[in-house]
Order: sequence, then C-alpha cells, then structure tokens
Amino acid sequence: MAKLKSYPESINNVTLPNEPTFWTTRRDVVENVGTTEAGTDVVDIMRVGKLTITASYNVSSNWLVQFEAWADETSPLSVKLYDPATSAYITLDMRMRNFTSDYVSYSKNTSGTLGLYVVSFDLIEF
Amino acid sequence: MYPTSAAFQAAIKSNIRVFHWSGVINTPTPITFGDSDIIEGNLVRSIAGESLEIGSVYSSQLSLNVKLPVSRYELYGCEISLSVELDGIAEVIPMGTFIITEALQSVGSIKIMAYDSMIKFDDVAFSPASNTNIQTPYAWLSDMCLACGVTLGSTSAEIQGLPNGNRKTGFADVVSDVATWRDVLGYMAAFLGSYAYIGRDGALYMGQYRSISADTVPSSFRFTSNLSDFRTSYDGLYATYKDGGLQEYVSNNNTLGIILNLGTNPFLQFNDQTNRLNALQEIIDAWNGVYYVPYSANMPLIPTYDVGDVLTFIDNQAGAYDLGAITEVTYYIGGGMDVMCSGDNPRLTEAQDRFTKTIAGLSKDYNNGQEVGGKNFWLLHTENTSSLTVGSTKTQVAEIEFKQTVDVQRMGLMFTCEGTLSATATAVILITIDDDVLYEFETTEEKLPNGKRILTSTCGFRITGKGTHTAKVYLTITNNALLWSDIQ
Repeated sequence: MAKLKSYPESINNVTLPNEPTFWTTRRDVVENVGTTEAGTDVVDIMRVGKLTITASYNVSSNWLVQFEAWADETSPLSVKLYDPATSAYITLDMRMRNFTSDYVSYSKNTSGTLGLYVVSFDLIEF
Repeated sequence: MYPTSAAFQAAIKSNIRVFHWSGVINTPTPITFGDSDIIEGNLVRSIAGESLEIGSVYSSQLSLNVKLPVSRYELYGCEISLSVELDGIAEVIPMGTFIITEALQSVGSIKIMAYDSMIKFDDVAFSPASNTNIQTPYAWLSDMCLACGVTLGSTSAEIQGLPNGNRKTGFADVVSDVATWRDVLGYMAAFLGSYAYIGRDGALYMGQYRSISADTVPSSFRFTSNLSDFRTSYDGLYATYKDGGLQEYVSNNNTLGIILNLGTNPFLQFNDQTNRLNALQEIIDAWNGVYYVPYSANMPLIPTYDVGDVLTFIDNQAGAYDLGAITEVTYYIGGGMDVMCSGDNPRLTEAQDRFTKTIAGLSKDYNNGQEVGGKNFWLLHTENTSSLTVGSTKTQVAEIEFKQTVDVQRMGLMFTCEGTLSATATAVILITIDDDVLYEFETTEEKLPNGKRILTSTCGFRITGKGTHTAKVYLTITNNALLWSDIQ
C-alpha cells in the first residue's frame, strides 16, 4: 500500500516541504436556511464540500519568500491535494489568506539560510 | 402549475433541497452558464397590481448577476433561457425565455435585465382601419401573435372555454389609448374575462381566475405569511357603451363583492343590446363562486408555481377558507420565493367613484336574493349635441329603449345633468316606463362654484314583461328667472 508521503501537496506545481507543523481541513456546506412558521428548517443547499485548509510549516528564508509570494498572488492558486475518498490527487482553485510568519529565535546563525520561520496560512477554496 | 412527476413533487417539499440553475444566451456563439457563474438573480411574474385585474398584459422580469465571457455590448436583444433542476431528479424545469434589454458591467460580472415576449406586442403598431374583421377571439389572438412574432400557446378549444370565447367581435374605434397590439391584447383579454401572460415556453396564453386549489401551503412550508381579514371577489360589472352614452351594469350571484369597471372596451361595443349585455354577463358570471383572501408570503422555492395558481393556506392563523390565486410571484435564485394575491377590500367602497358608489347602492337596495328575475342598472346622461330649453312645461331630456328577456327585472336608473339655474329655481326629474305613470323621485343637487348645478335622480323599478321597454326622462323647472338653456 502506498504511503501518504507519495502524495505531497503542491501549490502551482511547487511541491510543499514535507511535514507541516499542523494541517487542518474544514469541509463547509454553503446553504440557505429558513425557519418555517412551524419552527422547522428548510435548507436549500448550494454547495457541499467547500474546503478551507489551515496549515503551518517550519521553513527557511527561501521558503518564506515563496509563501509570501503565494499570499500576495491575485490569481487563483492551483492546489493539489490527496483525496482519501478517491485515493488520488484532486486539484482545487484556492486563495491564501491570513498568512503569518514567526521568526524562530536564535536562528540567525543557522548556516545555509537567513533564518528559520514558522509560517501559518489558510487556503480557501473558491 | 408546471406539470412534474410525483418524485419531483415529493422531493421539492423535503426539508433539504439542492437546486441547480443553468441557462443559455443565444449570442452568435451560444453561451451556457451554471451555478458557479451565477452570483444572484430573481425572476418576477405578475398578472395584477393591487387589485384583481382582468385584461392585464404584464411582462415577466428577469434580473441576473452572472459571470460571462463576453462584453456587455454583445448582449442587447439576445434571448436568455433559464432553467432549474432539483438534485437527484432528472427533470429540467424551464423558467422561461427572456429578451435582454440591459446589461450592466461590473468588475467581475454582468447584471442582466430581461423581459419576456410580452414586450414584442409593444413593438408593432395597431391600425383600426386595417383590422376591421368581425371574427372569433381565437382569430384575433392568432392575428396579433402573427403580427408580433409570438407563438399563441392557448388552443382554440381553450379560448372557446373562456367567457365570450365563442363570441365573434370586431374592434370598434372608440378609444384613443390604443397604439400597439399590446393595447389590443389587453382589451381582448378583458373581453375574455382573462389575463394574458407569456408561458415558460415563450408562447402567449390566456389565464382565468379560478377557485380550484392547485396546492396547499402548510405552516411547515412557509417562512412568513400575512392573510387578509376579508374576502374579495366581483359581484357586478359595468362597462360603457360609447355610442349609446350608456354605462351598463350586470351582476352575478356573488355577495359582498366589488364592482368591476371595464370602462370602454372596443370589443364590447355591440350595437345589439342583447348581445352586448350577454357578453358582459358572461364575463361577470365567470366570477360566480370565486372568492379570494388576499395574502403575501415568503416560502421555500417551488419553481413550478405559476401566476394564477390558487394556493390554500392551512395551519396557524389560516382558517377554513384562506385561498387565493397567485397574482405575483418572485423566484429568488439561491433563495426562496415571494407569493402574493392582491385584491381590494369591499369595505372600502366609499373610495370608489360616484358611479360605482351609486351602482353599489342600487345593488344593495335591489339585489334581493329572494326575488327572481334579472337585475340591471342604467346610468343615463344627457349627451345632447345642442342645448335644450326647459321651463315649467315638462320636457323630455333623455330616453332609453331596452329589450327585456326575463319576465321580471329590477331596473335602476340614474339620470344626471348639469345646467345654470337661479337660486330660487326648482328642478324636478320625472321618469316614465313605457309611457305609463310619471314617477317623480328625489332629485339631489350639487352646486358648482361657477353657478351651475348638477342634478341627479336615482330610482328603481320592477319591470314586468319580456320584450321592448322604454324609459323616458322629463325635466321641469319652476321659479327660474333664467331658462335652462344650456342643459348638458
């Protein structure tokens, strides 16, 4: 059986560094809910399975620059994810919002990089 | 109501529904759009304003904010077709075809305003001189559809089933407000006691107000509802026969209704009185037993509802007879719907015009359900082309000859005229039926600021015997320093 490692996430065909600090996926239902005079609800669903991903990575300064570029992108990001339901990749149009980066203390002397950072962001499906 | 399968009807009433909207625009390269392209939109259909109307020719209006891969300049005059499906049910519900009249471009989308084919009837001028045929209503409707490029959806049999559907008629050039075929369509719809509308297939249909309920709306399937505290219907109708200077009134078996004023309808100007009254009678008789309780409600979307569908409300504040025809419906894309049944409150009759109030009064006095026979009311005016001189000798000032087809008829007459009198003058209105006894009835006077007076006498008779009868109106004026020389 293949491992999840075989399905790395990517944004705009750039494979993300392995092992996020955390990765949370929320599935939303876009619906119109009305309460009737009998007190019951009638729900008109416009869409199911709208994804919002909250993730965080420990990255070097080079990756910080890449994530900042995606956060500033004005066109939809093409995000490839592993879908357990189909056991295959799905590609979604998403946007990156709520991007933050935290400098890791005492990482100024880390060789090969201009510091280490913890980046956090939301990926929201259109 | 648009016909659908039992599976659809069950699914549409469930607590969770998933709709899929789609459409096509017939630009040179047709554009299709779906849920992911539609930002918001609504469709409004109407057959009446604040009152229940016959002869209405309203156009449906589509407002749609949608992402399209074209410029706004390419959309004017194109046709946009809209449809909706319910998830899991393989039925496409057409919502109609509309002509784009306006396209507002914003950064990411275009807001389209479109109307159905009813507007095509406004594009073609109507000439009375070129349309002199005496023909059936179906032939008239066929002619106007052919002239305006619209398909006639109502069949000949359906038209014949309407009031006056079998009555041949011609267009009498007695009104000045007919410019296009849409105006003619309105008069023809009134002649048929109906309203005109464009169906989901883009064809012209004639609809009729009915009392058979199409669907029940329980409290579990409406978000808000407002039900009126009165029932509305029509129990009488009056129309103007221009050539005779008459306003003629007919009534039906309804009670506590409102009087419908048809005004001067070019298709109802039959010279033959019997034919004319029969035509009016057919229109008002179609309202027998049709009573509505006006309402407004917001409810989950049911895209198969149509204007004219009778909804019955039950539960909560609804009582035993809370039903009414949908006179206006708004379908919200991505939302619910608003439905409304309009209608006037019979208790507000004091707001009616003078003639309507008089007829309502006569109707109340003489509309005794215990009596048999016909009921008719005539309003007479003097429409003399030359002035009359009236003094102390009684002078005939008006006459009406009518054919009575029943043994007993309760006849109401109102005569009104205007003239200049001195302050001491006394005017008396006398009426004879068939040159019999002179009846003197109370005469009311209204003094005008310019010194003239309006005289009005309202009376009722019980006329027996089929055949032709004549009512004559005489006027005498005494103590008048001036002669009534400019009676009008």
